Amino acid sequence: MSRPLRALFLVIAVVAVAFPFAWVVLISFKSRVDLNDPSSLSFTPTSANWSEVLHGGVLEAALRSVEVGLATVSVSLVAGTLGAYAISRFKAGGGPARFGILLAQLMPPAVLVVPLFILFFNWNLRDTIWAVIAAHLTFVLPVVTWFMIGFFDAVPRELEEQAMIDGYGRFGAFRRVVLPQVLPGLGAAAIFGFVLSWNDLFYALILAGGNAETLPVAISSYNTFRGVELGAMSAAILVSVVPVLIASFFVQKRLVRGISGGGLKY
Amino acid sequence: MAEIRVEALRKRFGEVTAVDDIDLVIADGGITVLVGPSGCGKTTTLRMIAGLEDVTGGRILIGERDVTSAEPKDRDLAMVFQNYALYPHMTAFQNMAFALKARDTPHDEIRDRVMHAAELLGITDLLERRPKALSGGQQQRVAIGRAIVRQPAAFLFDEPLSNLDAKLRVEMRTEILKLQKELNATILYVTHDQEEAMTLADEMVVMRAGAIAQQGPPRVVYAEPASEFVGGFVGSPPMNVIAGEASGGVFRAEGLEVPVPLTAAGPARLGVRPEHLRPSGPGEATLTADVEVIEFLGSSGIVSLRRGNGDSLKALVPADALESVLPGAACPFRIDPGHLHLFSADGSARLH
Repeated sequence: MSRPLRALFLVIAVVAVAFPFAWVVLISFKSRVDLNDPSSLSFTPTSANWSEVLHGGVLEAALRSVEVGLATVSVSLVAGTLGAYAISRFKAGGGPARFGILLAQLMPPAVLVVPLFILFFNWNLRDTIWAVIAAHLTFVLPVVTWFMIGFFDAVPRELEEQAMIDGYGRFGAFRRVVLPQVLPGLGAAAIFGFVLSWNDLFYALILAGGNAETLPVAISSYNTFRGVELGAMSAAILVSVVPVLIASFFVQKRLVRGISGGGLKY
Repeated sequence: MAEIRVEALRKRFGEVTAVDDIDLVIADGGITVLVGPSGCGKTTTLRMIAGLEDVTGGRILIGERDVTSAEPKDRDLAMVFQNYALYPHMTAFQNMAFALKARDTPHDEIRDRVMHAAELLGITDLLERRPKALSGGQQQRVAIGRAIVRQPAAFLFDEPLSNLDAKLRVEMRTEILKLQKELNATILYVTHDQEEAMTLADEMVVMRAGAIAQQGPPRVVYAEPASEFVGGFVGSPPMNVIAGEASGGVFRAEGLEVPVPLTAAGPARLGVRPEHLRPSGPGEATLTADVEVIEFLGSSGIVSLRRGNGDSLKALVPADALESVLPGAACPFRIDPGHLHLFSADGSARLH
């Protein structure tokens, strides 16, 4: 692609991505009256939407989302790392496990949510963050595992064999020699998994739509029976989107590397 | 240092037998080299001794200790891998200290031993570098240093020079020999390179298809190969083999008759090393062949020959005798009768 053409392409891409975002920012500062014409650029900025969001439980929901995300990611990292290592080194589960692990992602979440709902209802866990964490594990754990397989594949087998000859057992060699090689991947997987959990509306809405609502559920609750409260919703959306934008900025390179199968430089 | 003994060692991968009941003694204070073409079971044997591969049958003893089912860490062996396997996240010093730390060696002793090994290998000023900042040869030295600081019962080398360029390889070969003498180390060394095997080995073990084809000092293996395979594998260029018939103390093939000290009669194969095939006067010639090409090496040249029946032969001719050899011409050659190898018709046994 020639230089000017590429520049043009990038400009279009930036506008396409940034425009809706800028619009949401504008709307979040518009009063109810100004919102009668959402696309108008002349309006009196107000902080009413923001103060409603800050005092209306959105921050609590965001905190809950953080808790759910951290718990989901912690479990996924421990189980996913060990699982990925087993699949990479010992062909655990045979050849199909490598990609079969993502098979559940092909299932519509609606299929999974009903049994989960019944399960948590019976266990008295409905409308708790535990239910949401468990549901999020169903998609974060496989993705983290799949992501880490590529990173483990890229670590030469001889490294851990050397460590085993040097005086450690299998686990000691894994912890002291293999794990340090995949730390960058682990970091990227953690952020990637966290964002997946952070963005989920479907499971959270159905399993914990009441007292234990997460941020996306809180956002959706601005869609009231009186209509959509665009201003407040936009402010709440920004609370949700900005952290993700910052995280993506830091992990984008590793994310691409992980998706293209490890490629760890040794 | 200790002797390693391997008794009836066997390894099967599913239906494939990689190592088939081999017996082997790796002498204390010497270099034993396992050599053979790829897939002959040499690396599998080494890995079983290291404990990285489970054995299907047989025993492994280090000194008097049976380590057949011991963990690699409990075998007191040090290993140098083909790709060096240096820990990328550690400096050269940390790499060399790693095994000592694992064994809770006191700090001062770790430093002393690492420094001593580093001096021995001339890498003292590289100790703070990470592997990425080291050249191939330097990485190799660190890997060897890491093995030395252990002061293990024996060293295992798995094709350690294969990743180096030709010049460095020859240098490191000499260095390994010197180190071995200095430390009086027991070394088991695996390579597919017969020249490396010959130069390094006190005892050379030629393997083929999971079995030992011949074992002995390099001189003996070279001078008296036990089979056509060993004769062809050891030595470069490889041994010439001519199919024919032996009877009444004479080996006969098309256009060729050589007296052999053998009374038995029947089909046989004659092995002649390239250096024992020399240009000669027409009177004393054993055979005549067309000269195809000459590869000049400096002190000698490799002459490719084709006989009338289509067989190709190679002769290693000293430079001063090359003048009588003309590409494109038919030249008389003489087989040195003092250096003949006679193998059975299937090449599996040495008749003389």
